[in-house]
Amino acid sequence: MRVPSYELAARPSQRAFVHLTRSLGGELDDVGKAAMRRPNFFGNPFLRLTQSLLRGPSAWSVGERELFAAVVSRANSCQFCVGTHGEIAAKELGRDVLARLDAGRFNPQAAAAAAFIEALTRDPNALSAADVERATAAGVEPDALAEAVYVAFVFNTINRVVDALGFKHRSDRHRRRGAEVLRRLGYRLPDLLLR
Amino acid sequence: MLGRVSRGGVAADRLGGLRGDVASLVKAVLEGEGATSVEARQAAFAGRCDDRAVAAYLDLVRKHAYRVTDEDVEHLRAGGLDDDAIFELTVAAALGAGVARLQVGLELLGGER
Repeated sequence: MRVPSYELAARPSQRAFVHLTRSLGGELDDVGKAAMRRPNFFGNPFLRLTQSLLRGPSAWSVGERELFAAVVSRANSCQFCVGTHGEIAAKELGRDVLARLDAGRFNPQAAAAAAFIEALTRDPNALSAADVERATAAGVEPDALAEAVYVAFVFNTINRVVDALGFKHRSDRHRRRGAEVLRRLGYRLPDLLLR
Repeated sequence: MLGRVSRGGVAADRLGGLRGDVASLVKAVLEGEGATSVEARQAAFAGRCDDRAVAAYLDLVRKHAYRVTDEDVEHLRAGGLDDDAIFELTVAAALGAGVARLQVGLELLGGER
């Protein structure tokens, strides 16, 4: 990454955690490393929001929310985040889920919400009440659409950080394993590591 | 008909909780302790910056972050910014782009949710 000191865990407990994940064949991804490096400035509030948004009680399934994350990341050309969240969405909803969404073969509510937040990502100033009406006509309640807008907020933020600072997966295997860990355990790190 | 099935079911306090979590993140980034000044982070968040080289980088972060190159970041480093400063200004600018979209989206949905 382009902030090389963030590759290295700062504290002994964090270094032990990084070694433990490596011994298990994994690697904490660069977002996790940045979160540990800057717990107060970034890690704690960012992970709390992301965990609540993507794993908390919701109008949308975990897979649908991960799909929203992948759609926003794709609109921002953020390969790192598409690689992770597209993988989780595919595990939850089926291998070709993004292609099915593009082809109009996905549930109409999630598809309408995805179209709304994709437009919001690409050109927020071009969005209008007509876009909201299209989503509500497809059966999306305003509060459910608001939740999708929060997903768009998180990924419009983190996509930019990831790409500007050159965050990368160490290998395709690490990407897939990391996605599986996030799918199963969510977006939390032990409190001890975020002090 | 599938298209008429309503998708709602958001718990009453769900959106309030998310709003609070966003506010905590914005407060940490814009007002918390850091290597850069609160003023510099707030300027990065708002898309204004007096230093031309830094302003050009932050503009790229906001508009097409995937186009940032190693050289762009090296340029910041040559101008005296270290990893912490680069991280803080990048996060602040990215957050500004995220919050701008959040505000547009929620306003179209009827303001405060």
